[in-house]
Amino acid sequence: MSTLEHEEPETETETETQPQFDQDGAVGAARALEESYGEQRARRVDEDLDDADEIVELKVFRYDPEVEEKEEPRFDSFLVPFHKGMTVLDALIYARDYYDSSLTFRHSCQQAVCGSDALYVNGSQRLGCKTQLADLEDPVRVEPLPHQEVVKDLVVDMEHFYEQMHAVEPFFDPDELPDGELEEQRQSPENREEVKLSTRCIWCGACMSSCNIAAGNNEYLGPAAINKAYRFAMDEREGEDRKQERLRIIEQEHGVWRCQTQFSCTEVCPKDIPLTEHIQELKRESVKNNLKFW
Amino acid sequence: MSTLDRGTVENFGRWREFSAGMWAWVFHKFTGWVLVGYLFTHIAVLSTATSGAELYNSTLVGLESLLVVRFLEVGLLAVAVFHILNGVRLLFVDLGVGLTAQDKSFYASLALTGVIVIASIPTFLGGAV
Repeated sequence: MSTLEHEEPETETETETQPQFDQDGAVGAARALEESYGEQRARRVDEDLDDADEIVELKVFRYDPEVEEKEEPRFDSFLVPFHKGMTVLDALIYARDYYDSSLTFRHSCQQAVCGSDALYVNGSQRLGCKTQLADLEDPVRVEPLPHQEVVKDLVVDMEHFYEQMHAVEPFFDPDELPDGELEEQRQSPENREEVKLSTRCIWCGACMSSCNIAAGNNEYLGPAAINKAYRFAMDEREGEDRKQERLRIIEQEHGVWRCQTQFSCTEVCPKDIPLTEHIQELKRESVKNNLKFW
Repeated sequence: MSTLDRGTVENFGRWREFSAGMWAWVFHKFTGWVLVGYLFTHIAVLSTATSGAELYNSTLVGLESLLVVRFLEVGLLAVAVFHILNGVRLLFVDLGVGLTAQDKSFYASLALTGVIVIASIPTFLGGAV
């Protein structure tokens, strides 16, 4: 990342003027007050930029069908003060709070658990809250996830992703329960290890967005859903009947067989789930389930 | 809710950001189709043998005397070698072996293809250039 020459952004160069009250009183006063808020904010940004370790240019995708000026998709630039440890999400929050409050993006926990801020940052699907600005080339280009329709700015329509996730029945559903009412459903440590990585999924949709096959084929379950299916199909506690039901979903034409092992999902997964490995294992599992030589 | 569909062209226009595994897939598909295409011309040329040895020989000698054909043969070898090597790589991927080294094995198959093709040039272009 390179340090930008400190340029005074246009809107921030206005020199402070005394609030002017016109004859209309309240309206004028309110407007003057509003202006001074804007000026305060601009001064704050100036101070922040002076304080910063470096200044990072953020190029953010903007689109809003309800606002005339934003009907045509475009990129807006924001100069954000960078301090060590800052993430892409931090920068977006700064841009929203100090430059343009209409800048829209999803975020919640800010610690890579809620899975709501998967973004397309510098040509790759990443979690905004987990991506250090220091690791990125300047300017940082932030776009909504590819292969999904954009609702507004960085917000994409996740409906299809959730449909695919639900299609694999992503819940624990054992054939039989233990006899005692309060008895635990024990899992062997070995079996736990087998499904451990697959349980990390946070439903952020980065993998699905990176997958070329899922982009061209809406029937394909996609890496996240197959990983979910893996998590339960490989769980020994569920029993043979349930596993057969699960395999029936997995081994459909648009289930595991659409995976072409491009590894893009595995590469972008922010939780480092070996998605391709899980899909491949389920392919072998369904072959074993169907091949009978006698 | 009105949403923005960024369109097919935009989606597939992301090839500049493709990673190793995605390129391996693109090349494998491409070389596969080239080999299928070659198979038809191969059958056509070999079928001249059904009309006698003379026609077969003259066809082959005629083709080999063309410089373009010599270069196309080098290209065919490149395509076939990559398809074979990447096919072996995919076999390992399907067996779940060395998945974390899939990008390295792709680069290795590319490099090996290059070496084999360069080594074949004296044989294919010998006497023609």
